[in-house]
Amino acid sequence: MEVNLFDFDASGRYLIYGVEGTQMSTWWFGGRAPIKVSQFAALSTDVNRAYKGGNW
Amino acid sequence: MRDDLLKEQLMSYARDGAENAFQPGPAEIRRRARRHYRRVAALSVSGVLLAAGVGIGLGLYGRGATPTVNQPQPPVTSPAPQVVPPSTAPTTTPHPTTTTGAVHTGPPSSFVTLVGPPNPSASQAQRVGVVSTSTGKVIRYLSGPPAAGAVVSRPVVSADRRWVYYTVSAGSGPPQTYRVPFAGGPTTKVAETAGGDLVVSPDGSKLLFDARLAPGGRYGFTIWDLARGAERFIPFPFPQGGEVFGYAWSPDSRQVALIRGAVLDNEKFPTQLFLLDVATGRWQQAVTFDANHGPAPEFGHLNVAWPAARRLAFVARIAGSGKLPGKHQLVYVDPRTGKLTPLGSPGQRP
Repeated sequence: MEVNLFDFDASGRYLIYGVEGTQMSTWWFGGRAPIKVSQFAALSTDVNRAYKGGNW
Repeated sequence: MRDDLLKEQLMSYARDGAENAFQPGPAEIRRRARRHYRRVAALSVSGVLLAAGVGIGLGLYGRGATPTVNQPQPPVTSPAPQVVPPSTAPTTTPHPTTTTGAVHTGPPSSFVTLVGPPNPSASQAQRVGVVSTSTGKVIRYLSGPPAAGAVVSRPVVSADRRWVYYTVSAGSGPPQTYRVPFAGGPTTKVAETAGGDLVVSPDGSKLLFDARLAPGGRYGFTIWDLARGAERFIPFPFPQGGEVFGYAWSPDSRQVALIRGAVLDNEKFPTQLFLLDVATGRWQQAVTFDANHGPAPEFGHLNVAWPAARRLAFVARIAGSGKLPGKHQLVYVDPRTGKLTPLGSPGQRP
């Protein structure tokens, strides 16, 4: 596994997280356990497009 | 794409509207309460619908001395805006359901990233783009196709979300670092220095590059002062580069955290967290991880973040864990004490 996008937002309570250039997700850290807020494919084969790195 | 841009703008308006919504003060609440009581009393004296009047009176008595004053609603741009949880303390209240369903509490509605073909050839350019956090769709591009043979680095956005920085490398010359408004606009060259994978300090004053990645690279960081237009090289606190798992600015922009560890079996050094005092250039070895006795950072180019003064975060491999995602888990580490806090374990709060 390689983390290629890993960044908290300014509040320190949301994390955007990308792994292996294929999946990205956002997480909330306000409670006891992290909760996934959204997820989408960073590698979109239908438009032949991939996302790499970056931050909030 | 136009819908995403419109949605982002509407969310921005809604967030601003909610933040600026009028909040009655205590005096205003008491004034409205007195006015409310007078109206109820007038109804009672006039004898109109005596039973209803008694009912209202009993109802007020039952609710206590201070009636609730409804707050003005924020602009309606998305369904069911949610109440903002306190930002200073963790809470167990439900989180916002989606990035489009919450006005106050959602994460940033977009992020910057490199957009391009999955396996780009020399003729297939990657561009800097702004992507929707909720849908993953490109909202706008911030850079055009680079020149043939040029390579664009991972972009970063400043903490105030005004500027996006990225580096273009081409040929044998030093990489060129550019700045473009997050909202879109003209691009300006801000630095010409060896290094890659830049990160911008939270105060927006400095850029930090991994000089190890430069041609003929030295093992260390290059820090570029944007106001002075000057650079400074700070070598790593170990004789060889090893594998850098990630680095991050502290929230106050005074320190940089660096995680370094072994990747190959013949590398015997431990995975460690170092802290750099930017003003003095001095390093401090803060934490040594032991994967046999607790979580340790997993290899990655960006596997550390520093969201709060006493809280760094990294991703660790945890066998059997269902968190973040698969068999990996997010772990907090206190840079002063080295205390590790794996998230998701019963009884622990992040």
